[in-house]
Amino acid sequence: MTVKCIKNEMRKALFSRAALITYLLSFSIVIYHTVTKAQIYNEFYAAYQAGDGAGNPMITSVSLFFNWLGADVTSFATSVFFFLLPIIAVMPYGWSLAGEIRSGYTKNIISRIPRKSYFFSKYFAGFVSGALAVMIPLLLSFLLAALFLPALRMENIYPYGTIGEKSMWAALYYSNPFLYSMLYILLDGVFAGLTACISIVLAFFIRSRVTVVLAPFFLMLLLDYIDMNVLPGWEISPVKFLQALPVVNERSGVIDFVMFLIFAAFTLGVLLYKERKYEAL
Amino acid sequence: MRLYRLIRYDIKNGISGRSYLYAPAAILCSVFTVSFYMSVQSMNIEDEKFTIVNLFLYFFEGKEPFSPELGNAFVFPVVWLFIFLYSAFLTLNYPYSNLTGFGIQAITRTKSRNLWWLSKCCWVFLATCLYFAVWYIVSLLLSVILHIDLSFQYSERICALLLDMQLQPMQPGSVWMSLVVLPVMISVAVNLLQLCLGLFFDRMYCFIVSAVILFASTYFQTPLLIGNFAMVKRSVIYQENGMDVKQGIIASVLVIILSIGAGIWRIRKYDILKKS
Repeated sequence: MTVKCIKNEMRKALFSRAALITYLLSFSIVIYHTVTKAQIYNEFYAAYQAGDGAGNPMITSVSLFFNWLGADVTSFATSVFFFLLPIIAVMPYGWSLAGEIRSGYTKNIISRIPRKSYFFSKYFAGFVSGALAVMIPLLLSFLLAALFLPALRMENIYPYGTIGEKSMWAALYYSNPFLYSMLYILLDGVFAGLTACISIVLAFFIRSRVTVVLAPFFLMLLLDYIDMNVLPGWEISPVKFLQALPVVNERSGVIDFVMFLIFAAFTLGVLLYKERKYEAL
Repeated sequence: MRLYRLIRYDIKNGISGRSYLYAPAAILCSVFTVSFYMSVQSMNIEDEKFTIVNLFLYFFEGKEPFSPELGNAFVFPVVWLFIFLYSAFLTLNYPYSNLTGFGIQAITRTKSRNLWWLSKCCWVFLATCLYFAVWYIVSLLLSVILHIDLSFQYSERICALLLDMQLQPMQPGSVWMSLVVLPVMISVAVNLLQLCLGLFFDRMYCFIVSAVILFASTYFQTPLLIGNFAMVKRSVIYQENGMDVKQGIIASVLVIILSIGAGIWRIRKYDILKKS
């Protein structure tokens, strides 16, 4: 029953109109970013061939590992993508439980199948749809940028694209940047999935679809405010630590893990409680 | 008379009935005020006169013009975005939940879709003004409690140390315009644009448009992105080539008029029954 339920939810999550529009939105950000990067690279390459700017041409400034969407922390596309990440993650399916509780669909379904199957399949589908909504555009951006940008390893002697020694996965960034980028896409996907799950579990308390979708977005803004004003030093804001290069502070693996635990414990805790105590009437 | 009654209904249901939505604004304002007050205290500058204008400059400082150079990561102004995005969220839901509910009755009885639309535009204006009133009143009350000076003067040293701002001398008139009138007008303009777009697209996409306009305003300095006019760090009092107050008022009035006009055109053809 649970497998059938998951299949049904996954179909609804991945092939909905909202998912399509979300993908169109993120792909448009990716294409805008890729086009601007291609223009910058063409200008750089023309100047490089002409031998302009005697001395060090700083060739790593056009490296793939510094210019794909996840790592290009100076660009508008990257900034707006990570700013909208909580909405991009929630839009495909995070709102679904709120909509179904409101329409009365939930009452009908939990009288026919076990509550556990229904709520867990919702959680699973929400997680996967949120993760994919962020991972696919990031992966696409990496692949598109790889078509024309040189995959040069970054060096820590330049004033750009560097990571502090104590920062998370710093050694990996210099030794195996490809693996580092892939791990970051995975990390972004996990947090995007959990963000979508926050919306799913908030549906138990809030009936308004708009509020359920936007609550994680405002939560992320609040975390960003705390990060900037109350706890400076390390990145605790997902909007910042999900970007593959440092924005303000260094990233700590411990803080990322603690944030992961908080998000997972909150969403799973509410789900487990409501799975037992949910009152349809 | 019919418009007045519709507005009265909207005030009762859209503002009084949803007054709980203003509570997070009051809490946020308190958090921002106390946090900034503590930052000032931690600087050990007791001889400086910390005034309410310093506090409002903190709320509406925005972001200095950004130059995307290598290694210069973009950090968005979270306080400024929070203030304007919460205002957009506050005015997002009610008009369309009303249109698919009691609004049908209102339109049938008043026999005018235009009146319904105009009453919602008035509601957005009133709700936005009330939202900013909450911000100003809460900060005024906290200023009294925390002994922050209530004057039009401001400490240049606090601005320089905490906000990284060297301002031109400001008259009370320009304080009012930059810190009260323009933020409210720009927010009304963005919210009305969002309301108008709601007749064409789903509410969520309209909020994304508002968020992108405001976010892009913090990244690009251009008068085409009206959020620029509501940031002190983009205005003429901060930089020579900054945004002009008059231009800001003209731009916001233009957006307001266009949004109301486009809404009137659209509401006549809008299929209410299909949406509900």
